[in-house]
Amino acid sequence: MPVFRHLLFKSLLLAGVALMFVPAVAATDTVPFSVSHAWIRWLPGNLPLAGYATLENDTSEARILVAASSPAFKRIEFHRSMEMHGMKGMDHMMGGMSHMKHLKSVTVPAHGTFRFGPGAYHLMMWRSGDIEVGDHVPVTFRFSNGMTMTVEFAVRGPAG
Amino acid sequence: MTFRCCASLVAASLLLAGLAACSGSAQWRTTDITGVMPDLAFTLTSETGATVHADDFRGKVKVLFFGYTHCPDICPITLGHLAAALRTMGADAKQVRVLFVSVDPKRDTPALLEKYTDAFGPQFVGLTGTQEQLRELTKRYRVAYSYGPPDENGNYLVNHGSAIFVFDRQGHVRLLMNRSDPTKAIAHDLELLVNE
Ligand SMILES: [Cu+2]
Repeated sequence: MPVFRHLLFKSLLLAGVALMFVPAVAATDTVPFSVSHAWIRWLPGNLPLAGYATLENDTSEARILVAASSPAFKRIEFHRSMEMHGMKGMDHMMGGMSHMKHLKSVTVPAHGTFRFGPGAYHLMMWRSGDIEVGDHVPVTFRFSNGMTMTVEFAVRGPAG
Repeated sequence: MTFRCCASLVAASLLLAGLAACSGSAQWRTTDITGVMPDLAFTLTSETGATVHADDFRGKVKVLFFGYTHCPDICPITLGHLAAALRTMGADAKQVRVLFVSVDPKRDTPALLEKYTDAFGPQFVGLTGTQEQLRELTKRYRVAYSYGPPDENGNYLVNHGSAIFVFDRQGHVRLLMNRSDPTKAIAHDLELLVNE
């Protein structure tokens, strides 16, 4: 195992579970803000990867996600895949047109859910080192109110 | 076994539709586009860097899709979806080639395309070409591609047609699929074409 991943593992151990789910308010019976289904689609070479996760906000205030970072990635962006149909002047085209849009932030509504999912919103992740299928990679989300939380993403194969 | 001509039933509708094969038949689960586009033809660069022509894939059922490797979401979803369909086809899958044509030759070297397509299975072939070759092929099948402006890191996004075209063993255009078609429907139709 490369030293890099060993360090990742160690830092996770040191930080413990507390780092992984930081509640937005003092401990209550339910977790007021949580992240689940966090995974990364592995691709070969040094290609950027897509990350997916479901963010659930059980507080009465919207949470605006403004940044994501990870020791395994040099840059993480918020993207949205979109399908365009019936473009002006392109009526002769077969099928739709796929494109991605770069977003500065995404909003998790009050008492609502925001989903990074295949074919829609995703984290666009530019890797800084080796990542393999089966790895678990910590990603830290930062919100506009100063809240941060670190979540472990499971690395899956190219087909998800 | 031939599914091509369910003639008596659909002869009339065939004439009306003006299409070459039995488009009136309900046998296909994806969109029949037989005869509405030209046969498969291209000159491109293969994963080994060699020049390839559509004829090099004669005898196989060809699935044509345009994309680029720096596309971490839509392209792998589509290829993964096709891979899932092929996995259900048993030995028939060996008669299919998925031609992933990168419209981003600047970043998609033959070596990278080989690694990328190998991640989805042995039937997946990465191809690319010069802008002229790519323009010719995309025009032929009425799809488009374009490049977004580079960001501060020099990265750029690529817009590309999302249609999936299927050609029979002889290279005739037959079906239009898209990634929201169920894997069962895709496998069903590819099996019919393999066994024609
Ligand atoms: Cu993206």
